[in-house]
Amino acid sequence: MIERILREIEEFYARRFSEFGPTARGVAWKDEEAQRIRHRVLLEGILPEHRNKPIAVHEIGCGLGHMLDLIEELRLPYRYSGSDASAAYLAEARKRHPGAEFTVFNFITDPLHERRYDYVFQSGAFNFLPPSAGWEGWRDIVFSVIEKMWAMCEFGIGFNLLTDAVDWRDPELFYISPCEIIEHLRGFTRLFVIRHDYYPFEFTAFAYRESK
Amino acid sequence: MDRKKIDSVMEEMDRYFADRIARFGFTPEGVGWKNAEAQRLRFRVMLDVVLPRDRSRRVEIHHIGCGMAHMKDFLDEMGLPYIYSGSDALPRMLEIARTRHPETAFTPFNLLADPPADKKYDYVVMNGTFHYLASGVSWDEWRDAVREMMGKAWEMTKTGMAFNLMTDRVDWRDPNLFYVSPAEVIQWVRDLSRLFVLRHDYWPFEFTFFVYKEGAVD
Repeated sequence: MIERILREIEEFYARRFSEFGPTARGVAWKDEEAQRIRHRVLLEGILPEHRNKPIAVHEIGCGLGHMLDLIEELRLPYRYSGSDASAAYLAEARKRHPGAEFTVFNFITDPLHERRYDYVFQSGAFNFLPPSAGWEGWRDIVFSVIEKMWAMCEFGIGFNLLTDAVDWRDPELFYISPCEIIEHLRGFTRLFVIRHDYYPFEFTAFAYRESK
Repeated sequence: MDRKKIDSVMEEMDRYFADRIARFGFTPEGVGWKNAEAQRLRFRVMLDVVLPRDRSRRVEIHHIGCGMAHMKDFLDEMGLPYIYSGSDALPRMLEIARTRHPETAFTPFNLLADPPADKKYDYVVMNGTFHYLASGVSWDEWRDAVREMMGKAWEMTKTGMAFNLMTDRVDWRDPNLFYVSPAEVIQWVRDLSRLFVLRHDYWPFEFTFFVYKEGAVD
């Protein structure tokens, strides 16, 4: 079962990469602007006390490392690293950013990343709904990935999802209520944020350690 | 909520504040906050409702349930350019607010009883307005009243509004405070707009919502 899910994910992204190359569309975003706005919102989740510091930011499901493009463009002092399950993406990410660290990590099947980072982010990888997983199956996987991200972070995590309050649904995509995400996050922290202000159909959730 | 009940809520709140003021004077404690720091934290978070594009502009911020208008002190201290105005249901509070800030516009307005004011402001903020659960008012009654008040405040804003509430995940409850799940409030907010922010990151026991007009955000 899990093999089929992984294969569907692999095929979904491989198809886009071969069709659109090393671009935002090559990692399944509509366009560059759609991808940038997500990265910008995620980076805004870094707490004010960390914003001018060389904190470690790790992105799981980093694709081609486009988040680092934005970090460099905005001249943010963060130390970025990325991981992804796709060797093809990582090869291209390393070519695009030879100075950055990219590691192979399948956030569904691999055990916890042994390294700890100040912040752990994820953008877009929860949106594709592998047909074999079904809605509930994918929700459980997403929740387990969120828990892995939490275990990997010192201060906080951030990730985005499509909201369930939409007029029209693409059967290939995963939609979930922010309320359900809140209930899940409350299982491990009392400090969190839902940003549902940049698109009507999507939101970004942040969870922070209480010892912050 | 019927008029008689509203009047009794107002009387109780007025007595509550009269007692606080007698003990603590015109201070944050005098309007029911634990201390100045607790009140300032709320102002700081709440004013994040102002969109980045408006942060150096003279946008209008209307404060419903302004109390003694300590928020105006905070804005002045931070050197923020916003045009502040306040309203409150209690004449006692308006009088103090006017004494403290003679140049600022303060108007009598009862969010629970009055229809929404005609004037629309860039932003409307409510700080601690929904926290107090008066005796004789059930949780369900106050929930309905809060939703209605949110709806009225929404009518009075052009860009967005902010309000805070106490979270339901607490170890201990004060019978005179109103606690609610942020997930439930998301459902209420979604009836107004698809653009909102939930800030549950500054204090484990409380959260703040920002709700934006869909046409007003870029």
